[in-house]
Amino acid sequence: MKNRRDFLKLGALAALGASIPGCRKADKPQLEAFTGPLDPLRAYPYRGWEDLYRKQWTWDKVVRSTHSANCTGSCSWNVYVRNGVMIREEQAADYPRISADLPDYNPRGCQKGACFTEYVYGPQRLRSPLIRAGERGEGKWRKATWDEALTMVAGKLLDNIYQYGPDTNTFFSVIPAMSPVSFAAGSRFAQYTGGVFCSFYDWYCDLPPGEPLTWGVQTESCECADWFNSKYIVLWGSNISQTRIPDAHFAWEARYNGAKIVGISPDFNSSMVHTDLFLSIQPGTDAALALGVAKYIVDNNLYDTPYVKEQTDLPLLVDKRTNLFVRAEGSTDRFFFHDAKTGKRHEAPGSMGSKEKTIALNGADPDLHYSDGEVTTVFELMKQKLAPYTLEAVAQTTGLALSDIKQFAHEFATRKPAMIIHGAGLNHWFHNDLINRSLILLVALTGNTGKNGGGFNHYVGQERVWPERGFKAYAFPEGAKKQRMQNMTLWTYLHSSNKDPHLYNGKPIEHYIEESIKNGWMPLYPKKRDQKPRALIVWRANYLNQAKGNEYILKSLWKDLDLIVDLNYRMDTTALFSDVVLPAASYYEKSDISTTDCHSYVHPFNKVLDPLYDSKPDWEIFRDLAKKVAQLAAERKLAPYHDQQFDWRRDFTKTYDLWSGNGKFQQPEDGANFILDGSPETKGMTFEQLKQHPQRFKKIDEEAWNSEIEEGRAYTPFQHQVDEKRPWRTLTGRQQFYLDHPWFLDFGEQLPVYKEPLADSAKYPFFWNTPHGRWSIHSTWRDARYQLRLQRGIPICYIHPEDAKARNIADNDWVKVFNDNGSFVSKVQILPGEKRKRLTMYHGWERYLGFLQGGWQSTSMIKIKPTQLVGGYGHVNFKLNYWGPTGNNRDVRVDIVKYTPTAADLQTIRRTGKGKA
Amino acid sequence: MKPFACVLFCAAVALAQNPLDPAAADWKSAAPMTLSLQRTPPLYPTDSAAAIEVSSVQAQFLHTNAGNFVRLQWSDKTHDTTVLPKAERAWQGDHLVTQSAATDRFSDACAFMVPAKPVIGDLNPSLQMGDAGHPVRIFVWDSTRGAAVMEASGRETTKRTGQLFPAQGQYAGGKWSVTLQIPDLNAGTPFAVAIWNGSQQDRDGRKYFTIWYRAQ
Amino acid sequence: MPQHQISMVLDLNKCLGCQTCTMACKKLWTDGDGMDYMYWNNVETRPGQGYPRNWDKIGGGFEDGKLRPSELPSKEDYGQTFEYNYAERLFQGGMQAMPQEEVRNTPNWDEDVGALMLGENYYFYLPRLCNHCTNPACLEACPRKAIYKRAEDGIVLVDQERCEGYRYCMKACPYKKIYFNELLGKAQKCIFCYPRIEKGEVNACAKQCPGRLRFVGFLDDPDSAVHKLVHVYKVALGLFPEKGTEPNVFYVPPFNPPRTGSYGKSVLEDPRMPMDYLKYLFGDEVVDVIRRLEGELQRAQSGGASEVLQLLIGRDEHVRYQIPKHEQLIQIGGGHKA
Repeated sequence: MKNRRDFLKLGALAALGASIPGCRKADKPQLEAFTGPLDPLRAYPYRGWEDLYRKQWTWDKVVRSTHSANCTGSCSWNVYVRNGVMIREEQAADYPRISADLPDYNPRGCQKGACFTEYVYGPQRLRSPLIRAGERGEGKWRKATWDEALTMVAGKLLDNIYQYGPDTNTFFSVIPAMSPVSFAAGSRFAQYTGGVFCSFYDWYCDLPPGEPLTWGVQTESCECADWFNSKYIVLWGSNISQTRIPDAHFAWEARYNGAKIVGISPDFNSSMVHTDLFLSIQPGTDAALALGVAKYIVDNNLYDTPYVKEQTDLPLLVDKRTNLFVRAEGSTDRFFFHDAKTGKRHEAPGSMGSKEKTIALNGADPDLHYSDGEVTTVFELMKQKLAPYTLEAVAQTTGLALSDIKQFAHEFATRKPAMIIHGAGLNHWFHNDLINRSLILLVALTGNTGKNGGGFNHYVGQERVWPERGFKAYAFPEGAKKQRMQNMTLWTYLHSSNKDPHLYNGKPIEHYIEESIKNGWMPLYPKKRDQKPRALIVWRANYLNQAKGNEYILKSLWKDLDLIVDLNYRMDTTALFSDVVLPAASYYEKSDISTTDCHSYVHPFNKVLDPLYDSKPDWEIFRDLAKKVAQLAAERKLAPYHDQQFDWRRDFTKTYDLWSGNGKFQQPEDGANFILDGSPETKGMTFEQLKQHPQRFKKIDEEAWNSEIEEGRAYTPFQHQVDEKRPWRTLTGRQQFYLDHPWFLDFGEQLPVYKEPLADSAKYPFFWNTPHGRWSIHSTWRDARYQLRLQRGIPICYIHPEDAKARNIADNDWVKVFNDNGSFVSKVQILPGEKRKRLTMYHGWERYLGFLQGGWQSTSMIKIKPTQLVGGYGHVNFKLNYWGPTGNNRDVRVDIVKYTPTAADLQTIRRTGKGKA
Repeated sequence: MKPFACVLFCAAVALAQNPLDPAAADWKSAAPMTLSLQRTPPLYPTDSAAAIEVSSVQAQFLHTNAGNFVRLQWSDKTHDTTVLPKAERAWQGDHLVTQSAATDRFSDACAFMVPAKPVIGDLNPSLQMGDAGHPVRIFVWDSTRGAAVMEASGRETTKRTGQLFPAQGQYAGGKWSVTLQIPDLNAGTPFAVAIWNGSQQDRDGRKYFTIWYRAQ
Repeated sequence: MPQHQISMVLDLNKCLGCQTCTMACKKLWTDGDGMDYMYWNNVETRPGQGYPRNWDKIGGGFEDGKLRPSELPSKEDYGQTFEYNYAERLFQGGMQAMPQEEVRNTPNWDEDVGALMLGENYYFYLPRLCNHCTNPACLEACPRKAIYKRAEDGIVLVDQERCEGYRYCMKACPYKKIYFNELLGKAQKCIFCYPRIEKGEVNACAKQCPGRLRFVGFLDDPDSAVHKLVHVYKVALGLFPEKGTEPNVFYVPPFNPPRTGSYGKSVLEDPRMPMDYLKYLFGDEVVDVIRRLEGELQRAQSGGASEVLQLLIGRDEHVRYQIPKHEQLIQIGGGHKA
């Protein structure tokens, strides 16, 4: 067989017959002689029927769009229409190549996106405006016209403003990146009505607090193609085969390209099966492992000395008595190191107060090990702090084999470039900030941050809006300073009956909360403390279903709110428990754009069909709501409202004029083009152009980001700092591991340390683990029939076989899981790969499906970590979705028993009789 | 039309519609033929042997103005048929798509075979679906999928013609009663009957069969 | 023998178990009447019961050249097809949403379960489709000869007009990859997306796979990735070769990480996943494949180069798929036109 021409000519299979693997010649079956002339193995004369399937693969029209799901996928999909109906979708696989060496991004997409058309037409689809006719959550509705529904909502919002104050109207929408025009339609409305806009990134516990603390950024990660450039990838609390479906291939391909892949997770999950080394770590002990590796690196001089001296705060001087940084006289933001060259103290360049806007050392040589009677370096303090983390002690704490840890430590220190892919498995712990900081310490010590193939990379939550400048200008046109912004964790905690019984350094969390509010560190609305929130408007989110402390919220906040409005294309749990439900267009019925942390392209949502039924795109709903507010304000002859907080005289008859930018924004495409035009990343692109295929960003906004976009090169962050010596966006101008804020010092967390998971529920023996999984994006697709058929049809939790045996639980039993916060009843599956003494339920099950009692968040409570309330410290200040208390949930503990369904339960299970909702 | 004539006419029409109902009173008067059934031998190496569970089938004939009918009755301990469930197909809104109920079950069925061309004397076509030059027409009634007409001139050549024909089946008290309306069925027409018992995995050539008889 | 044989190689070290391939096939081909329970492509966790349940144990295939007996899987073996009362719960104030019947068995029932060896869990994902065998047992078994193999590309098809639903083919298939459409009374199965292949487009299951683990091409095309993987590098094996049907779908066998405390040891020395299990699936040859692949991986991870691993990276569609235009094949190879 010489070449392709031969292949085409000769049909060379016969020649190959002998060498077909797996087929031993002696066993080749003798095909029975057929009676009659028909020999279908060789020829078949009746092939006309084959047109049957050819006809099935036809369509009238195909349109590109995408999905708005907070998955970080931002995948390009073709949607096929036949006879006016969307019949299926298929990845467009049209991302341009970055370079010949890097695998390309195609096809991009997952099994959930591959059946979104089921939602477009499914029974959960909202087809008309609905107003509640029974109790909240009962599911009884009456249809309303748009006019009636919008009049009701607008009227109540205005009532609240004039009666109770504009900060009693609360707005919640998440992840602008997945559809910024739809997001901004509501945020503009919120700004022009004085409402409170709540955060999501911290509330969802996706914000890794260690990033703002150490780097002064919200989150900056390499795009996923950069994984291919790595030689050592640590999947740490990140199950990429389930949660990064479109991108996981880069890791497995990197392995073939010479990378070693380490997986660190308590359970042997779907990603661990492909690793070179699997570390089944005891839950919550990851910081101990990281600090053990850090100690190994330090003890063996494996750290990148020049990098550490220049890029980190480790050489900076600290006063031994006060434990505070040595600062220039009268300054808060100028620091020093000891210059080994001159033997003298030298002001560190690049700090917030420094005149030099560079961290280049210009010949100075900071002494990492300096120590005298009064001062020492952060490095030396760190060494002391690391002393207990011997590998033997770490093996004990983490339950890992000493030999495995030793090799891991050595390889991490010596294989370059090395990166950590950090996931929710770590970030959802109470001490998430300490875990983040410990891991970041590793990549900093080894000089891996700011290098292609290296770094600390976090993708939990699609928070990054690449075209940020244009987006911010569109979403909050009057600027952030004239917008009430609220950390959602704090808002929910204070306005519900969640009450943390734990004491922190002997004080309840309320003490720290009040201090924080008093100091102006964390805002709280309504500002008047005797005022309660009155209205909540939710769109592009499932606030209630996902909320920690679910049972408390249902008993308190959800009863206290006067008006709950939900914009949605499907009836999720929040919609089910709302007062007014407004049907939104689905992802395939509107115009918008999409970006993600995971890649460096932008691409659009296009209308495959006009909005179905009586639905409207979110953008139009808010447009009409703005018009309605203006109309009612005029009809009621409302005098303008003096919003004292901003000294803003609000004439609500102008609401629509303002919202539309005085008529500039007539269509959502106008908003999209405004964003594109207003951002360096996308300047010159138009919405029309984007329809061809995803476009790579042209350059970056230097105010927002920390590396350039270069042709032929995957994006990795912090090259400005590492290559160009620009200061880090921190107080010290460096990667900052030492935080001398008084509260951090009080808790002994000025440097990263390991702290055990909270012990306050330790009377319950099982850790309660609710990770993100493959079968849903949070709650989206949780009720999708085609997905449920490939699972077990209803919610299940997982238990290790030994634990099941001890509780007399069998596979597919009904079980009750409970603690002091609440309980739920679901089915159980026995999973050998689960960790002992831990129960897992993948995230996001809707309350209305499959549970006999409760829901997946019934056993959680809102826990706020005191240090996450701080502010007024250089780079550590509240900004929406940048810094604030996170909604952690991993420290919860529960117990489990076998549950015997009651007669009423059986009616529910068998769908006979009335059953119980 | 005078009222009395109308009554007679209507009665005649009513009478003519009845024969398709296996429980119709008309069938009481039709003389039954009891036909012996044999089983085909196992045809394929992976086929298992089967016991004789059905030993005979009874055939009755009615020739009316509305058409020619045969009613077949046989004992069958098990009612092997399926009701196929329906479910919504999302992208067609209220359109219901038919789902499957069982994949390893075979349905009770029967067939009435006649020569497709007039025969000379007793030279009936081969019982094995006729042969070249002596084609047969087979009226099949499947308890799950209904009636269909097939034609064949030998084994492996059986083809559906795409035609349907009126037929009705009822199962009660361990017995099947199936009526078929057969065109050109007269007294003396040669015929043979096949019975498939679903619970015995019957289909294709795995079945019960009779020899050729002549219709009454 | 057909003129050419189209073929697929699946690299099990890249499979995420995401079921996107399953959904791609389902939405394109098996969304119709009577097809609710069918997944022409499915992904199962191994070790595991598979889909249909215990398909690898109930028979089929050839033994000494003769068809082996087999049971037919029941609907219960394939798994339930759930329907929900959402309208009732969400819009009519009715009871909790539930499937229409109690949950007993589903096509992916034991997802992520696998097995334990000496206290440590092991498993991998196995995507399966019709193998379009060179000696198809289904074709052999059909008394109406309604199953045939296309001359121009070796795709095995069930004639949807001539099939009478006798289901001897379902018994004969050792992989249980033919399904029965009870409404139509016909056997149906994977068609290797021939309408797409004919237009030079690759199968939906391959095209839509985000793991990018599928390679598609003609086995007898020396330039194709499948040819190289199967015949040159010899790292891809068919499932259950001893069943005698000569499958044309091949797998690069999977690795699992080492057991706790065994980092650095060869997979042949102290494996997490017993070699016997891989031999059960792929035959004895798998041991040699694993040994060589392990060597390639070690070389790559020590800074060396590995040709076969570079191929398996599959950087883009051109590397993974080689589908010449169909008309070209028909003209040259003389395959039958419809």
